[in-house]
Amino acid sequence: MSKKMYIDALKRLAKNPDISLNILELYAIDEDPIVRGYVASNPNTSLDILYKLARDEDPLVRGYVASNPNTSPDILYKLARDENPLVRGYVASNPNTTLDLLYGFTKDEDPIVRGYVASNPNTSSDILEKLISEDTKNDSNCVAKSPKIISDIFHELARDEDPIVRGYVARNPSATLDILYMLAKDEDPIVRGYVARNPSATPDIVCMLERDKNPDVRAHVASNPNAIPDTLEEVFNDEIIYEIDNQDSYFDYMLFEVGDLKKTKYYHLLKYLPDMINTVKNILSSNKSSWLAKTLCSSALSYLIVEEDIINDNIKDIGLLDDFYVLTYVLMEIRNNISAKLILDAIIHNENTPTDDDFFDFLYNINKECKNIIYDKIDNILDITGLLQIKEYDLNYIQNNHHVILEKKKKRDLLYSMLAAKIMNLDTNNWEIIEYVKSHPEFIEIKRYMEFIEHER
Amino acid sequence: MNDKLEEHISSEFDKIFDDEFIESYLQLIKFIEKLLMCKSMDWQDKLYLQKALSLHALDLTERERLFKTAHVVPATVFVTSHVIYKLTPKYMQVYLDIWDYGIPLYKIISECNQKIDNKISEAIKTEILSHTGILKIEYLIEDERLSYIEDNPDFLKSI
Repeated sequence: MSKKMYIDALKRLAKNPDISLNILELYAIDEDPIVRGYVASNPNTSLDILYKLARDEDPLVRGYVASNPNTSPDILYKLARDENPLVRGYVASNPNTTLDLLYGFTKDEDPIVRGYVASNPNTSSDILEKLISEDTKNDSNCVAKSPKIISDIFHELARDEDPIVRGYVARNPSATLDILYMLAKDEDPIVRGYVARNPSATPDIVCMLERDKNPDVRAHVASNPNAIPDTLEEVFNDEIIYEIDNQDSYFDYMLFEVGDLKKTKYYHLLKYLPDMINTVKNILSSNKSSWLAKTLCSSALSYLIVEEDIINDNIKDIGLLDDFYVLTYVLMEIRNNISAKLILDAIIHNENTPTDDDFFDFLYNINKECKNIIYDKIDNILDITGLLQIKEYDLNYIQNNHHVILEKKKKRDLLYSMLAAKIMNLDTNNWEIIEYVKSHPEFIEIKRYMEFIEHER
Repeated sequence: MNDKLEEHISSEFDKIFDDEFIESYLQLIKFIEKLLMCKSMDWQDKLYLQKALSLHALDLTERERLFKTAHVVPATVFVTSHVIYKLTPKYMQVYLDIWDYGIPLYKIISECNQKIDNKISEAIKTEILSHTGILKIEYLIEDERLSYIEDNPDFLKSI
């Protein structure tokens, strides 16, 4: 059985309301934190077990205890002081959490925790207003998720300049009809798409969106329960299938993997890996990012995916250090050459890392430490990803002058080929030069021309 | 690509595509991985290929934001097959050396095109290439390679 199937089986087991207490007690002491986590989330799990699991060393398990609707208020009070923001976040989302705790969480340093407060069905209007008073975009995002959001706030967020914020409002089932009408005419097709699949959208709004000029918006209509059969037929005639579902990210699995690294030598660095991944992912998918920022992020994420890279991911202790280094390197490049704000916007939702200007000191330090450990591999890593070569370009220049760059590149290629021809045609001692060129990665393009000449002879 | 990513791609694709196609697609991804670790490939071309592989680091919602289309899975297939196809003329020999799957590469690329043709219009394809930054990288790589494809439509059949 694969690990995924095993976890799926456990998930079904954990959700089974008929499972006996004896079995739950047995699994509660399993060595695998995922198994203990599923016990912690089972509605049949006794208070005794929940008390024990609330002291579990793994934050994932404590988080599941915090989210269990049977968890008693005293356990919730204890977990509300947990060092891990995810655990505190689950407490904030638990319907049994008292109003005084929820009010306390509005001052929590972590935006994720404050976001969970906004989504708690018991959150009162004054708590929401308190969250809004922070007046940061992240809070706006979080508050927009609340089912109890007050009308004035809703109207304000529906006019937010950021389409992501408007999108949150558009998909909220509590959005009023006037807001949905307004957002159904939004300039951003993703916002209109969210309206199209909002179950509160009336048939006339759905009908209007079914005729939207953007085929993606029309596709969303198919998933709306208020869509009338004729509408659905037209949508399906478009041969459009709506495929976005609640799918876990691949890196959700990776978080477990990082958890497994706890006993390894460099866990103090690798524990930040999920945060770095999320930051780079946010930059890649943001519509504010330039193509160059996206290109650097693609480079780092693809290196992360390749298992047999410069330091094989399966090598104990250092297997993921090269991947971690590339992520931090790319973020530093973006900060130094593109935009620091782009990164600060992207780290809003992170759990462990410091925010604002402290982040860059932190980034510099972890990058430097990582570089010191794998110093002999750095050139190879940057060379194999293409990051070494792109650094040699004037990044801003590339961004704005790609036609000029194309000409420049042609001239450089011509120069490389001439150099290669010259080297290959030297009468004496040319092997020293050839070896020198071949052993230095920065001359790889000249080397390629030399190999071509050799092949053609 | 580790087993987890393989399982993840399979579960993401199995709502739309059959098992046989999913297996072929996974071979394309493994192929890109091998190419990216290949030292004889130009750095600009690696940045180009990385665009496809990195998509699998994003979940569907993040990819929807990037592509600005709801057809996320077909759009992902499109990007992957597009970048491999475009680099074929330059790396014909490298492709021949590395490709070791039972089904010829051209058949899989052609199947990718069939799978996405009725889901993504040409206009949306261009949009996707623009939003992902692929179009800009195409400015950085030589024009000859791209025009070669128009002059020699059957070149891929040798792989």
